[in-house]
Amino acid sequence: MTVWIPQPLFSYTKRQQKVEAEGSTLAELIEDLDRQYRGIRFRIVDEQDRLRPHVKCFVNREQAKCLDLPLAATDEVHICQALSGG
Amino acid sequence: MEIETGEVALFVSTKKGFWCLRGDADRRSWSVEGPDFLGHIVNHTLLDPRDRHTLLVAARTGHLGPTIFRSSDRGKSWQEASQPPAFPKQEGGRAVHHVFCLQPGHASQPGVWYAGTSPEGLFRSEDGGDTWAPVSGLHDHPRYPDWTVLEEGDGTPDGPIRGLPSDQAWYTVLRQAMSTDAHDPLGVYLGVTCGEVWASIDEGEAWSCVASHLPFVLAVEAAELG
Repeated sequence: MTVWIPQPLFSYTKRQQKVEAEGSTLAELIEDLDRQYRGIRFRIVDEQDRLRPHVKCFVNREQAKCLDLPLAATDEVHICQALSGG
Repeated sequence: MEIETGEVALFVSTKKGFWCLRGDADRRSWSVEGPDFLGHIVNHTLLDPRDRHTLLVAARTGHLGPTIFRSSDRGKSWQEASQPPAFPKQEGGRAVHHVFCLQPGHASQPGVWYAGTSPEGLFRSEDGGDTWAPVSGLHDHPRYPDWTVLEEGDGTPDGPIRGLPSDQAWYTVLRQAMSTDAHDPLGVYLGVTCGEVWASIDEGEAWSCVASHLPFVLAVEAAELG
């Protein structure tokens, strides 16, 4: 399925904004991303398997509430990072 | 960025990246180079005193968590740690917010590094900063929960009254409260805001409180007296 990557993570995806990955859940999808782009998972999920506070994932434009969310091969996933601070 | 042999360089770690100030021969004129890691919060940058080529950078990548960057060619190129400091996974477990201090290991142990983190943690690398593991001697110490459990209403504007400081307090309080000596095995020292100084003389395996009832500790620096 198609995964949209936020600009701060382009360094992991060789500057690609849109990549392909597989998984039957959001957690598996992020694992697959990490297999392809080593290190990207730890930027999205912390060591306790929690989404980092300012990272949100949207599946078919609906915000995912948990990493166990089931996914279909035709789904489109957006990974977004908040802009804040100074 | 590239640092030449014989130069004096000042590594300036900022909230938005890393700059290097390079001095001329008489250190009256300084050139400013950078930034590297633009947009990242860079907490600490250190040149390995054992080889004078390896650079380690402790960075927090905006909202995307903490990591360590390494350069083996004095800043010409950088590689991210493949396994940055991270607490073991457990129910209700903690996540590293940032590395506030890097310290090299003993001169006889090239590639060994220590990283102090917030929340309170100490991590060790044996491969030049590529992979990091918790120092169990500290994390499993019976007093460790006393340092890390923050009771409700226990805080002050500068952090909790007892225990290691809370998240923001590390920025202003304990950044300089971790130090190592030049002995073999390496000594590691931590200052605690509850007024205690803790020492390990075996590279972090065993810890003992060497001073207590001190005021709020701001900095600890190990000095080798001749």
